[in-house]
Amino acid sequence: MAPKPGDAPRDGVNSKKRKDPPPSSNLKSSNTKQFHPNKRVKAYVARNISSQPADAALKNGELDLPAFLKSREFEIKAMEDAMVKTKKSLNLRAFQQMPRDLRRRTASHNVKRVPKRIQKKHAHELKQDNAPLVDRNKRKPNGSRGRIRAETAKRLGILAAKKKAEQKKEGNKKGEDGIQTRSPRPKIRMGKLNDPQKPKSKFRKRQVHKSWLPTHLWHAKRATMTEPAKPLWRFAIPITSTEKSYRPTHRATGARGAVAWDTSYLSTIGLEGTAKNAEKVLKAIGVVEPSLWEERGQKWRDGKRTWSGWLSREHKGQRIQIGPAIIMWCPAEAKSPEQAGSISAKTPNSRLFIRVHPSAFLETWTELLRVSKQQRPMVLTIDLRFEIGSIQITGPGSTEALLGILQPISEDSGRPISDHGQVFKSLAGVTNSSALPLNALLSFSVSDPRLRYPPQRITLPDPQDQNASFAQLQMLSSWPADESIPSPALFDRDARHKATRLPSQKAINRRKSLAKPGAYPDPVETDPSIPIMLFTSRSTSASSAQGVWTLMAPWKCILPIWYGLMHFPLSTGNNPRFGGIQELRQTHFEHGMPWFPADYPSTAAGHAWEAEEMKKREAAWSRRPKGKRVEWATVDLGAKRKGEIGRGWACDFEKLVGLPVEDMGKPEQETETDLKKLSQAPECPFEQVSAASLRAELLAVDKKLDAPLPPITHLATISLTPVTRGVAYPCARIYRLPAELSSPPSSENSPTTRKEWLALLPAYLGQKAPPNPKKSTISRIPLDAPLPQRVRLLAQSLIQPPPSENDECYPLVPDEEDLIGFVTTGEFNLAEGKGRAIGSVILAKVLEAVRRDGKCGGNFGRLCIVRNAGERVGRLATWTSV
Amino acid sequence: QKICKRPLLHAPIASPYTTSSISPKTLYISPSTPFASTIKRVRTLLSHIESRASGPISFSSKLGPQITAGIKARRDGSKEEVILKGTGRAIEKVLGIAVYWQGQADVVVRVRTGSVGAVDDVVENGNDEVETGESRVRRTSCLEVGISLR
Repeated sequence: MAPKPGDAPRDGVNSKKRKDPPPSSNLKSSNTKQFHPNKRVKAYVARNISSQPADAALKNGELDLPAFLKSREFEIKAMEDAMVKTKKSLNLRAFQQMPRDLRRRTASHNVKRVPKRIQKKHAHELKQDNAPLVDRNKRKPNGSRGRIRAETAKRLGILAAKKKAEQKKEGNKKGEDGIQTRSPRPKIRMGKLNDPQKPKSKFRKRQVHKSWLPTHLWHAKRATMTEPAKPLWRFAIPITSTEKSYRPTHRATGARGAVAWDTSYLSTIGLEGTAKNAEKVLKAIGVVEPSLWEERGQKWRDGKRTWSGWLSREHKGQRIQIGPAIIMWCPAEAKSPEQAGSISAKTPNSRLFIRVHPSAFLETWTELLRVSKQQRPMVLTIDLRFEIGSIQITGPGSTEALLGILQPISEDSGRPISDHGQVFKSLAGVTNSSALPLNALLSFSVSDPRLRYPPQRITLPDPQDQNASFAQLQMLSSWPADESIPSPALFDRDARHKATRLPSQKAINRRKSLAKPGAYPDPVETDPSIPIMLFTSRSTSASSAQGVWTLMAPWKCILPIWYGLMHFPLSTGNNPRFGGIQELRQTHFEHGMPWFPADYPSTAAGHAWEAEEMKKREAAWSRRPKGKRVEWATVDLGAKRKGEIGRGWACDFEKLVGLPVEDMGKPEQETETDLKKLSQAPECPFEQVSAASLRAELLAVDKKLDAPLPPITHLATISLTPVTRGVAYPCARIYRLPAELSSPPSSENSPTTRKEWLALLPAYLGQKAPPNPKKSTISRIPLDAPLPQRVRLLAQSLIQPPPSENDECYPLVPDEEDLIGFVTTGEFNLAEGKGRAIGSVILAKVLEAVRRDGKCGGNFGRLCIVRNAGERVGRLATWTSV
Repeated sequence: QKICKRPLLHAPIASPYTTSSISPKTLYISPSTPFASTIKRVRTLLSHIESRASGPISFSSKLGPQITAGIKARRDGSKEEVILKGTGRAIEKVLGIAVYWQGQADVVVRVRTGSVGAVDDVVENGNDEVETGESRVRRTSCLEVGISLR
């Protein structure tokens, strides 16, 4: 067979890896299709920017302004169009035409790794390129790692075959006596730490020093996980998605879509005891708000609301903040009339869950254990870390997604669905979970989500229907779930265990294949019901911000729910996205909220986090070549001040307070288990001041101007917004405004004055900005100036650049005594379109600043100066307590 | 005691690329929404609407008839609107934007009034706000401005 003209150079597929040489002119006629003769024309057309001659706007020699503007507008549009077109005309390859967040570099030659819609084109291109094809099955393992991997695979195969054969034997045996035993319910020890359930032997080696989340295998393929040797809080946790861009996630949290997190790593602690003693225990760990223990807290104690706030512990007569927690009570069972009448009926124990962050778990656990053992009768403390998992989901589509995958069922067949399930079902059309009552909690049972997999779109109410939406608002206002008793099933060990005995995927597939086409399989009596708790939390007090749904379910039921959630088709298109730790932190940041533990460096957990981050930053800094990294010792702060204050890569509170810096040079022994490390973590020398007490201190500042200041080790978390521009990054230094000087300053002893800084305030902030003494701007144009002079002055003022930070007149940062804290999180905030930061400051120094401001009658106590580490320029910012 | 407002419920913010029959192009205006960027956003949405109405143009057949057909389709086609909505303090802002668009020659501006439901909680105004369990539903007036190409 004669070779086709296009195939001419392709005699051996693997012998030739290079592309064809550019076509010579005599070849052009034979294969016109392959080499795009139109390419040049296309590029020319794409690059061509149509414009209009300037004299077109002239009318009788006069400028016709509207016409002139119109033609310039047209030209700008033409230029923008041309830019887009040129870019597109260059994108020849299939994978170049993908949306930014779907582009990949690894294995981009692999047709199967690109989205389906462009696979055909990609395959065609590869064929044209004569690219070598790799068949995965025929590939020989190369390198030592590949060889080891192949050997392991072989051994595992042998092992599996052996096991299968054994099972076959056993299966025959079982047939004889007809008894099949079920694996026993795993034991949960009271008052002791429980081990995670034994993983499958295949995965056991990888979980020696850490545990996997229930969705680990799903996440490990799609997210950057924590390094194998460096787990976070003894868990392998997804850090961030492998997708390249964050903006789609940002949109999904606010505009349309939903973002979900597998937060099973959050620790759940169960308490069980008499109501009185449980109350005592809770009060001892800082749940002391009086409203909770009065009539108003009844809903919380009935298991219809959650409480979220900070836990604290007693230490040498002082209360030390541990971390934020959520507490929910087990609803009391409805008393049947004969039970209520009988005298001998023992009052049932009340049970409750405490959910804390794993970094604060050990601290909470030891304190709870200590306090609960003091009670008579004792309050039982149960470690339910690997019993209960959770999923967080936020965004306008979150309620819709949950409705699509959770199918409320009655716990006992024959009874109707519980009221809480009904209320949940009526939430269709709620696009913001903070429209529910504050901290609302729903407890009910759902069916196995795999029976309804793949999930289908749900019918949403018509948003134009005024009456229906008003009726729904009335439901949200009256909240009928308060009238009924929630299901206590999740608190019940048996119910949890029964729920984890889900039927096999095989059995479910069989039932699905028996169902009519397009229909879900019918429920049967033996279907396990999964007890869940679903509660909302508002991210901020700002009412329009998106709320967050949290779903708590037995640990082993998280995976089927997660699969359903990730494949739910949202009404606004796409599926819910998933997030890692970084996305979680970023959403907190965009709402202006601090994230535990990173933004609380004065708690033990936050201190440990900061120490870890500091090591990372230092390593990153020392890896850089000397010429390209900031030389901390020579940072020029102006006025003959040289060198960064403290360590440049750290939020150096130790230096600020005057504590000795720990020696970080010592190599650590890696052989210790993490738990040991946790218990041996260096004591945190600082104490966290809660936002409420900071607010109270600030309110009372006028009354006690001369009261003693709190100790210097008390830190408070604040949120910073730059007044004009600038972005603060982690480790940025926060200064207060320098003190007002009574005598006119001589330029030598004080580098900067309060006046200079206040002059930077823009006029719209309401205060009349005092003139900057160092600034030499053109003053107002005098009214009596002749016209030519006015024009000249005006032109001069227009040309003059805005005050730049490189100017002589830009104020220098204050001295070290005015340094009050450090930024822990800071970045450009996509939600606000400008920089934002969250930091920690020393309470005593802040109060000092506010007091001295109050004394001189100013209102600038909330102003501060933020300077990035290693930079000279400080920026004015306002701060608020969070 | 104090009133604490729950957020007003509204549909998710529509993607600019879908037709308005599926998802109306609604912008929710708050008192702090910048004026100029709202104008720009409306303009972008309008240009998307325009290009959707005129349909795609292919280089394979003659361009002239396609362009005239596109222009005709844009003139006759359904008048897709960009809708601005605001309540309370934002009404003034929405009106300001509407007045700007009325000054533009190429668009038609329609101003409608309506009301939306809102839920208020009664909270105890102490050191930190505590829910009392009381809440009420009310209707609040809402201004809607529809902007479509002429």
